[in-house]
Amino acid sequence: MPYYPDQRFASRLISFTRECLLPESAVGRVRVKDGALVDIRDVVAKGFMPSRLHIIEAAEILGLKDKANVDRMLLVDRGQMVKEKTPIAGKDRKKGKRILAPTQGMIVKTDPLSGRIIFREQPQMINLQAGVQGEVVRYYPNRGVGIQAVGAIVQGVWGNNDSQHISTLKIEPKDGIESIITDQFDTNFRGAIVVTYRPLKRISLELASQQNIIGIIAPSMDADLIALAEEVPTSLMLTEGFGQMTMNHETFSMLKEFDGYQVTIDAYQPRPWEPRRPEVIISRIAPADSHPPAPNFKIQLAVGMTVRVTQQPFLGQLGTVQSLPLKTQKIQNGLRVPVANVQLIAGERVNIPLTDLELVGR
Amino acid sequence: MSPSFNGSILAIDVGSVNTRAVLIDQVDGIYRLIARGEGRTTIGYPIHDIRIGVERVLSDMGGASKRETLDEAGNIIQPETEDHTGVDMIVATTTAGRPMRVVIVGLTLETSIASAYKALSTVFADVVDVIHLNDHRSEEERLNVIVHNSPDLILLVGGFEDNQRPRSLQPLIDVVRLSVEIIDAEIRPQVLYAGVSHLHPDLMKSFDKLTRLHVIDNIRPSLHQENLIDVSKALGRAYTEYKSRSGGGFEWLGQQSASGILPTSHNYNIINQYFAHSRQVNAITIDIGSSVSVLASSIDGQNEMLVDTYIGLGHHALELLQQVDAKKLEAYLPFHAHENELMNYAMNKTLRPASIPINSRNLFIEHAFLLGAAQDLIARMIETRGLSKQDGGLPVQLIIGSGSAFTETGNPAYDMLLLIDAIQPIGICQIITDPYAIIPALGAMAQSNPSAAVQVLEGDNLSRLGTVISMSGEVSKHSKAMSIQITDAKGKVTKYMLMAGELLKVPISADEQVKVQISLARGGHINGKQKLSLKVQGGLAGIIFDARGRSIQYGENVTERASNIPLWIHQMTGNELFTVPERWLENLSTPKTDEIRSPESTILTPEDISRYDDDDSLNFDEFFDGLEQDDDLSIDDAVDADEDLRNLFN
Repeated sequence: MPYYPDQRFASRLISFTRECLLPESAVGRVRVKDGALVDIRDVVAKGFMPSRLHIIEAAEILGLKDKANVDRMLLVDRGQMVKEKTPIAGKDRKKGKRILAPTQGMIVKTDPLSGRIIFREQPQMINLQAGVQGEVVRYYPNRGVGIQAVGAIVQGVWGNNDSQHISTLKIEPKDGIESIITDQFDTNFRGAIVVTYRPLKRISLELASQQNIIGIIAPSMDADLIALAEEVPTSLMLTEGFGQMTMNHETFSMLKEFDGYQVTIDAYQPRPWEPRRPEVIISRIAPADSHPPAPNFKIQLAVGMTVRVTQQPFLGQLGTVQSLPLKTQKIQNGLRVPVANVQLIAGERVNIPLTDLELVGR
Repeated sequence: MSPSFNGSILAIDVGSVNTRAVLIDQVDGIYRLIARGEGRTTIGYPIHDIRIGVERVLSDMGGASKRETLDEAGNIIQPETEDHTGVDMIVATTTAGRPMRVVIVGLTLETSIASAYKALSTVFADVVDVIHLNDHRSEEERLNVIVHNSPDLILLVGGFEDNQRPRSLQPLIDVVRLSVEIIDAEIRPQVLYAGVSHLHPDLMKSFDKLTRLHVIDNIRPSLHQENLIDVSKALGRAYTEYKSRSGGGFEWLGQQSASGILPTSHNYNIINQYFAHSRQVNAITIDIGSSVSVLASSIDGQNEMLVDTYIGLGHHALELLQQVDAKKLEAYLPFHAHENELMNYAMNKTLRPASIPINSRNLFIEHAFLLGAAQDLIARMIETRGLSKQDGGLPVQLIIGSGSAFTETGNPAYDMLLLIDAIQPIGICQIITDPYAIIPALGAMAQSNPSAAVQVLEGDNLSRLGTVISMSGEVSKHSKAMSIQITDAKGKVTKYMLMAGELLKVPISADEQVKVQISLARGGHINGKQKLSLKVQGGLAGIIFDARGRSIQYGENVTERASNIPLWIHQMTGNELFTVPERWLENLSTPKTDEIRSPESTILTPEDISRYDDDDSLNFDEFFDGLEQDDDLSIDDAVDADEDLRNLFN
């Protein structure tokens, strides 16, 4: 039976579709149409996170005999943002019985049966930027769009806080990320997205956010740093996983080539039912005579393909599929499972469970 | 479908990691499994359309069986044509994607809300909050709870039928209506009302044109009455509707199946009850999936169903770790876990839920998670039912293992070991697995076509792994625990001796029945007996003798566990005995020489046996001469299975 492996891209020039979506719990609207051309900083969707609602007994406060009249007493429009203590209902804006806005926010509803006003505190607004140059090719009502673009892309396995930043990519100094946040803080890294090939430490994360490094691309970190990572404003993307793994050579080499480029980091925290991955994107213009390949998501695993192993002890290693045995094979730990025989870059030939292989893109 | 339906059935189960399909049709008047297929579920990145995964599985299945089920547009051909293209019926089940988020709104926790929880345990739902009269929340707080949880369904319950005007429910209905009005029309929740019936007209009026309203009979018409069946069915409809509008291709799948998309979990309960009822045994079905874990039990005629949408080995591995606690999981490990090791492992599994361990260390962790999850479910079942363990284990005679964790080690004896350790049965217990994941499909089919379901169940479509005979009680460590004599159909006799704390696998095939005579050392017993003789059916693994006692003691410290756990795996699988590296035991006391056990139990020579003759309780000749009559405990008695299942549903 054919096997369709997972794909996680690390490509220098590829045609890809970037899913640009508001958080699932946000209430929002898409601001661009299918087929629209967008630039990196264009807002493609706007939304807000649901905020606290207040029930105001308006008919009672205003002494209305007929509760249905509450609607007529409004001094501001529904949906109109008002400041705290702004009169929102009453006969007169300046005198008499009035209802003041309990906080900055808006009226979302009046109920003629109960004579109430429902008021929403000012929500946290989200302006979702495209993050890439490209064309809108998919439309998710109220959530966002898919944008077809050309460029380099590195997909990670985990992001810390769903934040997205656009800035300059910098490779960490020889002595590691900690060395740029010592007493002699190197201003070159302020506001940058920094790549480190070493596992991230608690101290690096704390200092990076203090020193205004807005993004970090790291191979791994221990899972007990998750809570801290979720708190800091820095966008963080892990390329390998949780633990003490270094970045695989291929990914680090590629990122090194883009040192100094403007990149978009999307520190999306993966959720199993969402069609997204955390990623770093470098928008590029394809040479006139070339057509960057588009990924084939429906590709079957075949002999000769380059794959990445996703489990210890070979985690992150690239290799080439040598054969695909028809029958299950015994692996190192005694399990008997469907495997591919893979020649790792170091030369070793090993049987790897099919489920532990990913394609890295073309 | 009418009871006389005799067409072909295609069952599709879309799990969070794997999509499986089975084609069932009549051959010589009996329903059989004709073809099956399995592949990865295509939800999430990059395709986010389960249809692709289903099409792949059906295409592969069609190629292998020479029976096409898809038309050129990728839809499933219905009904079946004369040239055997297509199928007559489709049953679709799923646990993929986000569970249906539910807010329960009711009067009291002890009555209607308790019933609501029971009904919800049959579907793939996640209760995100409960609002009730005594929750000490203001109306405004309740409004915020509902709106901020963004539920897919609000389940409204409360009031007894003899109370014609339970005014207390009205304010709760009002806050539900207000919340629904405020929630953006595109994402408004469905409302399922299963409260006092006289409010039906008011309710219809209140929610008219506002959202999808399901109104059904009262879930708790009186204190002593529960109406769970209607509510479960309505929840099934609500689930189908939720899945159909949640994108990802579920709408397409729902359209293909006349019964919509059914939650998988309820079907385990149906099949477990069938086996328990038809074989007159206590039975447990267990599936620890990637994102959902299910335990269905029928013990002493009482049925219990636990669905936990928060613990699993893949997507919900972190939640599993948090629920079970790292310390408990370490009790299943033959090494000292590094700081963060279990949490790192869990997080990596959530990121790549389909991955399986390559090295031994990670496999030990994977199985610790599996056993921890199973024991957690069992502990909760025991608590819910007010049961107590017997002799440290569970009095079950049949275990059904489902899901890849229990069925895909590639070695039936290994699967069996995991299931024995997960459930820890006492006495004599048959173990079967569902490698093709047909139980969800058959459970769904059974509701409309019990004959087909029974015929497939009683065919060879489940894997009979074998029978485990487990010793209870206490026998001194490293001493002889069981002497065993097996007489095969041709009269050939083989004798074995099993040490306390060890396992013995005797390969007896599934179609073979042998006579087993056992004598136990002082302190040990099987179902209260020290000597017994019985006929036992074999299986893919054979017959397992378990002298580890109950509950299973993995070892008081890591050194003991490092000795026991690899030994048990070795004794069951025949794989090379894994030696735990010294560095894995860092910071722990080194084992004393006399604590190290012999590597395995062995078939005994007459000389060996004569050495054991000093021990009264283990004298083979005396014991076997003294037995006059077989105590036949075979659990494979023929039953009128079809009739049983019909009765069950009626």
